[in-house]
Amino acid sequence: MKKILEVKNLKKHFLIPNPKLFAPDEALKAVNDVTFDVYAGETLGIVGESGCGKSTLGRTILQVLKPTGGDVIYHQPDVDNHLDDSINLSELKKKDLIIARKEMQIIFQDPLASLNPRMTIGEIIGEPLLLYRKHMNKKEREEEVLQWMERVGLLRGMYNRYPHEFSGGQCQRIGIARAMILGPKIIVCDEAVSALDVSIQAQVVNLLQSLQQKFNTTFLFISHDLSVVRYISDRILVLYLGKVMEIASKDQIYNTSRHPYTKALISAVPIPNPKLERERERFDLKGEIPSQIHPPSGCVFRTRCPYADDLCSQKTPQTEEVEPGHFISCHHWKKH
Amino acid sequence: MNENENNNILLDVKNLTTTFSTQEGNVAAVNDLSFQIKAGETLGVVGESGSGKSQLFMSILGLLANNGKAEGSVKYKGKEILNQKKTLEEIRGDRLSMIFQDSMTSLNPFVKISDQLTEVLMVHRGISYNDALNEAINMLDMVSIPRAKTRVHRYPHEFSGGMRQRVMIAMSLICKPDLLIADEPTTALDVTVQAQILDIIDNLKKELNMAVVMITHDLGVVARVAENVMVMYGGRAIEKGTVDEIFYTPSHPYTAGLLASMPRLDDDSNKALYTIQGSPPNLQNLPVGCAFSPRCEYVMDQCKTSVPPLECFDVNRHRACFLDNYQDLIENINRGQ
Repeated sequence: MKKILEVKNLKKHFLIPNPKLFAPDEALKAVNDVTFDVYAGETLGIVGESGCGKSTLGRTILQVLKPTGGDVIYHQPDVDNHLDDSINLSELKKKDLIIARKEMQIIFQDPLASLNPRMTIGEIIGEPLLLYRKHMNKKEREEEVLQWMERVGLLRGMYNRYPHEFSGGQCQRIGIARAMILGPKIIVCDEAVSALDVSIQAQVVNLLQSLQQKFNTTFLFISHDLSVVRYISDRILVLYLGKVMEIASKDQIYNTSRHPYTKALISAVPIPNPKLERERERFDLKGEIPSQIHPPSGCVFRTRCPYADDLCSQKTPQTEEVEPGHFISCHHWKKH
Repeated sequence: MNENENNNILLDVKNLTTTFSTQEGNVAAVNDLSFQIKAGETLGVVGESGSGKSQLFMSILGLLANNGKAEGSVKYKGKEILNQKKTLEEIRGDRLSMIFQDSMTSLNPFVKISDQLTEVLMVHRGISYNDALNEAINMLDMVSIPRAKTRVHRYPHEFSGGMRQRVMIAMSLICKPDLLIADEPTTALDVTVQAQILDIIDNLKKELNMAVVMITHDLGVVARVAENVMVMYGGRAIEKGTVDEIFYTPSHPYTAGLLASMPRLDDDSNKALYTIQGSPPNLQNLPVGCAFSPRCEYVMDQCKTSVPPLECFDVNRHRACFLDNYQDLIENINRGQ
């Protein structure tokens, strides 16, 4: 498969004012040296607890947040093979970045808050066209918007209504239409279905999947809900305190994970199957995610890891490929 | 029912109806609902947003907003408590207590944890501050808050979300209640912390022989903790039964659809998720007849005109649906996809 994104040693640090007078500011390392590839047309699930940096990672890749270090290389899928198709997004000037942006979009968690309450949904969905398809006249724009409204399951008659008239599920459909209208190659879904009711969540998940098949879009699906991620993803990246713990295909992650954090995360998810729940063996994690300003030395997960020893506190584990396509950062992956 | 079973009933709710008067007219959040909770039982209450699951228990505890009105009967150990301000003040926080979803807005940000925890005991038990403080520290230990002795004197903002939810649990359990009502207690938390909190509730329940009501939209959580389940839709109970009955042989199309539309961690078949069409009803204008009828694929003429009553059709098994052939709803759904 063809790579569409290469994320190399990506870092995003936020400076936090030091409470002590005259002391230097401290860095909160939200994304700390993250490397992975994304393949064209796939869905890469990004999971982790709150505060692990998954949203920051999504935004840094899109250059909504300026990276502190590292590269995000975008391979344009439509360019002929013998030409150089790569663009380093983190080095682009603002003007070029605006052009590159139309190929990557984001869908946010809170469906209502991410829509401007004073714009009609026709204006909201059509706004990207105003910016990037300047040659279109009003009529063409409207036709394009109406077509997209139909594709995401909204009625044509809703064109002139305002966001507050819609339910959460419908608002999320509006957000999806707005993100898809320019035909982007990559979409970051940041907790896109987390705020929805179960019955609505299934509708939106199915909609995302059918749109992906139709337009061959690449999804970065950020979520804390491991059941949804398992359902929608091809590959999964597990993040903890800004570091990659494990990257693998979803079957490898859910069936043959070799990282203690991934195992703990999966075993903590309750399954809607009472008999299974009663018999299931649990691998409980103690405590909570430590401070991101002063993360543990060595392996960041060691304070909650049942296998941690001296080596883990002294040396940061490198990411190893333990079988094809299965990457792990753990000193002791062979032991468990 | 014999005498013994009667004594065992902690909470007996009969024909509870809650209405809110708003500018757009009256809104019925809970419609003619009846159920019982036995001592030591864990009841899961499942429903989507707007199903009335939270308002049901707010009505029982007398915590409705000013424009809300509850009618019917709620008996705690045989004594009427619905709208009985005085009685409720005595037992609320003592015999019946509640944990809310959002721990930051439920704790007073200006008051130290120590004062918030001891207040309950000093009011209900009339003991001294020092005794209450010791009890509070014990309770924080029980919910696994490290260094409880020093942390008890901190303010809510100094705790993380998971820790605050533990403080809430400690506060609601400090009087060793007979019934704990937990309203989405883990929804805002990470799965790893959720697992810890559910374990804590489970252990304390066994230790104190307390009954628990778990209000949630997460069917996984229900499968994990509940013995009995009540499914709500449009302000009514539409199905009741044991957790195994509800999950393996649902008798209402809504329950079956809900189960089939959840992505599951134990499922590696890649078939499309079942979807219930449409969205949950607006309580302000519920459809005539069965509230689920506009979304139901088994809808019949009868459903559009009259509301199906909640009827008992097996031992302690209830359903509110006119559909006769409900034995293999789940298989029908799976075949249809």
